[in-house]
Amino acid sequence: MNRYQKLAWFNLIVIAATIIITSAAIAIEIHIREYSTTGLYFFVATLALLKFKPFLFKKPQGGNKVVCDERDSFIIKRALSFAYTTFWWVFILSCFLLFLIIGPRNSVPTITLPLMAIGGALFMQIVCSVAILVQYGRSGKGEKS
Amino acid sequence: MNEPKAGSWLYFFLGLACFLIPGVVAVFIVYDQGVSFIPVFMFAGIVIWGGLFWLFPFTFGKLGKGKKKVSFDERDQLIHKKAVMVGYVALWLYFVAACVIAWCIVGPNGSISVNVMPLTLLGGLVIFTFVQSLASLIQYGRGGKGENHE
Repeated sequence: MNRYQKLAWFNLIVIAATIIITSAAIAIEIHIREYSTTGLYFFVATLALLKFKPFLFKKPQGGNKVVCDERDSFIIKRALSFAYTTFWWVFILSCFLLFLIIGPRNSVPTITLPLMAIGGALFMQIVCSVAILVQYGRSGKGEKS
Repeated sequence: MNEPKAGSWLYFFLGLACFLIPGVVAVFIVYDQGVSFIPVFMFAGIVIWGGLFWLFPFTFGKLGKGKKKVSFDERDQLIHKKAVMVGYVALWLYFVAACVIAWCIVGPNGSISVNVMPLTLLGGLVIFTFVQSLASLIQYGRGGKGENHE
């Protein structure tokens, strides 16, 4: 398993943990107090683990070490392209569905917009990581770097 | 000027005009008369038009020229891919900026009309087309460096 696969797995695990922990925290707090304020803190605290990627998965140091070859960079580019393309469709769907479900004369709280942006970022990260893992495949075909 | 470069210019001017003019007219109708069928239909038309617009250069190419001529080589493909990626990055930044700016202007406790969402989508279409075309044109450069496939 090379560095990009490890990064992709790390992204997926952290995002899944964030969703589970935040949902559980909100559910428990709503069950106890009938409203929730700590969900955001759990969300940010768990998601902040993504910022430790450069320390956890360091690039190989030294002149002789290879960081990535042409195949790796091609896989990353394709994964990014796929993530952006799917985001574009999600963006269109979310705008139209919100408009159609709520109705043209109604309004939504402004907090919906930053939530949409965060949701979009998480969605792109998930799609990109899955695309990287799918392209590398299951078996190790010389992916050590 | 080769076919993809001509397509970029087509995107740049015709695309922007086709998105902007009906979009601005629809916004004025909504602002003046409220939401009705016509502006919603116009927005839907713009989105469908934007989704199918990439077909036009290929269609014109197929209709206008013989099939044996080379109209799209590896370099054009690379330029197209890079331009699309730049367009996507600009779209993403626009989406985040639109969400955060609206939140900052209205305030965390306020609410915004749902009509803003199709408008955001329209803006996204315009920005994507604009940036993609601009990136293509910048990559092809100003002079014709052997871009004639004739």
